[in-house]
Amino acid sequence: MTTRTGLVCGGAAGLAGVVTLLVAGVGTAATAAGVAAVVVLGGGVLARSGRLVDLAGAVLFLEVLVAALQGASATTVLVGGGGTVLAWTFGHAAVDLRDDLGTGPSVTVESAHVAGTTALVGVAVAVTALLFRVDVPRIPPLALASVVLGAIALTAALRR
Amino acid sequence: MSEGVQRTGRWFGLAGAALVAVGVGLLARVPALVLLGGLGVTLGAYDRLAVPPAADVTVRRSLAPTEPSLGERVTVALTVRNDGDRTIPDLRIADGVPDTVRVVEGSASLGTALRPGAETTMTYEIAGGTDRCTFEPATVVVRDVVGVVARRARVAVEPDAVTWERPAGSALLPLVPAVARRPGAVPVDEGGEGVSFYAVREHRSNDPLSRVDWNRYARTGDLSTVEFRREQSATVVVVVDARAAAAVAPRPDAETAVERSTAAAVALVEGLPEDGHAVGVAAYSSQRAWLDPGTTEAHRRRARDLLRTDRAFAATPDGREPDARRLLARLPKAANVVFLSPLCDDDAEAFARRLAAGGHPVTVVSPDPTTTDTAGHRLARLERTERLRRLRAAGLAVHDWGPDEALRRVTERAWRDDR
Repeated sequence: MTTRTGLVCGGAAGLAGVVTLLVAGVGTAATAAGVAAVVVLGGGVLARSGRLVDLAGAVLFLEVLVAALQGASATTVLVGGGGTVLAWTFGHAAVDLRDDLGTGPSVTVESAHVAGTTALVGVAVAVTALLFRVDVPRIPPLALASVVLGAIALTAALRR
Repeated sequence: MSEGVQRTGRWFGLAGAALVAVGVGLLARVPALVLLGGLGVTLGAYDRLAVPPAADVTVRRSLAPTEPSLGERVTVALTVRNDGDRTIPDLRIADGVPDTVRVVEGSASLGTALRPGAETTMTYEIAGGTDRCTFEPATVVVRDVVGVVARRARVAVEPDAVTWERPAGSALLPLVPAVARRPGAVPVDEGGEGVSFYAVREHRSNDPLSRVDWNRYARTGDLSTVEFRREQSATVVVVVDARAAAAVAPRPDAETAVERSTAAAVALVEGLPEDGHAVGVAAYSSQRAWLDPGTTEAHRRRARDLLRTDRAFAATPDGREPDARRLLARLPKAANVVFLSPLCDDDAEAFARRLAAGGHPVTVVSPDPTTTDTAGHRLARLERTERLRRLRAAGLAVHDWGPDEALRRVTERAWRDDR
């Protein structure tokens, strides 16, 4: 019997949280938020609390926002955003697996989840970064925002 | 197989975060945040469009042994195979373990990823079953790689039942002598028909000639009659201490004292009627269970069914105290009582004393659940030993039943001590 259910996902969540902290910790405020987020994330995984994991994800997101406002590069912000999503997702996966499987074996499913999700989010980050670098005529920020908001409305309407 | 698809909500709030990023980016004129919103939109689109893989799996179950005897562990192996043509990145399966058994080794659930045609097996052990136990269908949940959408299915798996057979042997205990009723096997302190010598008395005219002591007549010329120790059948009530306080075990994976007591009661119900005793069953529990003493095969079957299926023997904690007065009032007059209890609290000892005070010959069989790994456990063992000693001093027949000892060894020791 293994008592390590959720260990792989929990470890991956911590790693993603630390990477986000290091990447987006460009100033004191951002670093403080990142440290707090990693601590809360660890507590949430250990206490099997989805709410704490949500809180940790929100604080990591806040760290990335602060870093962007302090002048971090677009790549830094995107990598920090991707790391935030990964930390949040893996944290929830660790909690879910413990709830669903108890002490049942889960290394295979956790490894597949970590690899698959990292690949998906990594591709999304890479594609978004590449789009930003495409040499198209300059788009006014308001127009870019309108495109993104339109896309949000479109995805919100999907399958509902 | 029944199926249902549901979104797990794992990425709930992602679109809101993207909106916040875009809004702040616009207000602060930071293009990177608008771009971050774009990343949120991309992942949000995946959240909306993802579909779970098909739950195209077959599940097999194997049981070993297939016909376990009472108290024996059963190893369950559940094999799941991906029959589809796509990899299942997240497959979770939980076997439908019957409510009436306990998983004592391993886990009845598994999480894995399966390529097409691949299979995996999980193994666990169950114990505590006392009759036919039917498995519920296994629950299979498959998810996409991120886990934003899940497909849940219930899969019936064969074989779906295991039956614990009646105990390998019945048990018979020496009973404490009681008042005379029917000829049988319990010796009483009274002369009469029987096989072992009891006394010689003056001949009476209606005494059978076969019991005249002819040797003495030849020696002295006096007629005298030999009396043998009378033996009788008894009315026995087997009382199982099935309170939640008695559901204690030396190890987490070991049988509880209630489970051992119930198994011993089943063995006694099998064994005692073979010696002509009428046997009844009762639970010393917050829930009532009672079967009047009887001797027939149908009665034995009823007693077995009661012990194996009645909730009163399940040691369910419900905060209520057992109704000892009602149980005592129900016992037939001078009935032998076999009380099966771990004697881990003063309440059990007090009840045994009340049984004896009520005029019932009491035999206590006490499964020992104590250990010596901590100071508290050593103290509990000392207290239990002292309770056993006090009950013996009070005249009760008390048999201590070691944690890893077979019931047969206890009964053999009881018969040896009785001689």
